[in-house]
Amino acid sequence: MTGQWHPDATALAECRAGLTGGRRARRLAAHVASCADCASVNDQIAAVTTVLASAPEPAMPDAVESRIMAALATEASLATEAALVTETPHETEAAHGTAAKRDTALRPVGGDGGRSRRRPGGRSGRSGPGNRWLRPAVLASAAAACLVLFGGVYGITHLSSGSSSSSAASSAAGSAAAGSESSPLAGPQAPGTRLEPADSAPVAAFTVTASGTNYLPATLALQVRAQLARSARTALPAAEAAPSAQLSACVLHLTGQMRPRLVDRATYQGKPAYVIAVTNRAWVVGTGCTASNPELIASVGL
Amino acid sequence: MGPEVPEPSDAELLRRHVAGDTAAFGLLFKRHKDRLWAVALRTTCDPDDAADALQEAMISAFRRAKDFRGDSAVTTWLHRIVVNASLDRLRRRPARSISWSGDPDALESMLAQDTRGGPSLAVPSPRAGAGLLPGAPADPADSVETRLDVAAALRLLPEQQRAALVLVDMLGYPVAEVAVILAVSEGTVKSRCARGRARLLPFLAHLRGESGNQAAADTVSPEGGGG
Repeated sequence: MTGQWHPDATALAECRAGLTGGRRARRLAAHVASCADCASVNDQIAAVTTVLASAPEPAMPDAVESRIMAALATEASLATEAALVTETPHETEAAHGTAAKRDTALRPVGGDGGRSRRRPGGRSGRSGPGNRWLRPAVLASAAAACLVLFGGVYGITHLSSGSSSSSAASSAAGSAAAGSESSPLAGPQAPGTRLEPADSAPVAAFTVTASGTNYLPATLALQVRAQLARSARTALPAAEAAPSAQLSACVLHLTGQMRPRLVDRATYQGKPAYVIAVTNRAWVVGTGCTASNPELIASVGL
Repeated sequence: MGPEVPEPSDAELLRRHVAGDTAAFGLLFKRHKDRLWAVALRTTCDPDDAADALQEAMISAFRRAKDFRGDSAVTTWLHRIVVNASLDRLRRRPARSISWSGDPDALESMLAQDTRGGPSLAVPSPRAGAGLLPGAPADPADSVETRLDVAAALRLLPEQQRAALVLVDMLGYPVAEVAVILAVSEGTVKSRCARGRARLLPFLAHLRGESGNQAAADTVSPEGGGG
């Protein structure tokens, strides 16, 4: 049995793994029992498993953990924002009075209750932590919070004046590209408020600035606040006459159809990017940002 | 002192996340982060790729949590997502993927290229002694074998064999669970592991210590669940 024939290491390893049966397995076992060389190989195969099992398990570096926790926090934040601006049709129909106006103000433009709204990164609707985030109690508190955060007094006043239209089917992109002159919210007096109630077409009136800022991760929030302060004092240099439909759609997607307070064509860590900000949050996106693929690079609370 | 509140299970944390608890998924991640990191790092063999893959995987899991049906353990589901993200990342960067034909001369050439700063086999610089069992040769210049620690040797494997070996031999998961993670049959897992062990044999067997000798079987009788 120990003559000219010797099984190769793979054959021995497969036999050890139980992949060889019957006569062949018995033949291999008999050979190993009588062949010192093959017995040694067999031992070494077992040792490979032992060595692999003995290798220390690497601990995750703190920087990686922080980075992933930040990414998850961004996801949670985006999901929460979606909850703030999303509502089921049933809840809309059940709402009355001022509450109805508030709820209407919170609905995403498009009239589908937000179910078709795509999230950054390609997920559609509420594919994240689930529609149970949209329970009435959550929505009620979310509505109050949103109204406080985003100039709700103006929104209520405006909505009470009956400015809705029936163009609910208009796409955000198309509407955004339609220009700003006809928007009742156009102009600097209503930054950060929702553009339109849900049954109206959104009108995106924002200027893309070119501040020349190189935004950095560690100082992103501070830099954005500084730009917002600058823009409140004086007009920042405009980067383009009017935002493209693609950019408008991207911006409105990120802001939940709210007017951005800042859309700055700049750089982030030296690479071209758009920095978009509303009252309480800023996003950094790639220059190819679209509604379906925002190319989200970073997000920070303000 | 009141009775200690038991920590929520993985399934409970996932359920809370789906229900809107914004902290639940972070807790789940922190609970398993080191093991998930080990899977990503050893599958990609590159810390940067591992970090990217793991981040993608965690965001994917965050978003897809509501699709988790409970057919397997939450950890199995997470590992599956991490392995897939790691393999996806390797596929997107084929130039950084290493596959050794088995020819010792070719390996010598790869190693020589690495020592000149070439991109093909950047052997990670492990912590002192990491990956080496007691009694391992001290001089890494002695031979090809002694130049390879576990992490470097793993890079010589095809990705699928590496993923199977990492999960079965290094992390100790049962073959049946690894089959679920990798979405292949148990026989395929065993085969990939067997072939991977045979391929690594010239580079790792010398690292065996006392425990290795004791573990070595006298015969080729089939192994247990680790198969």
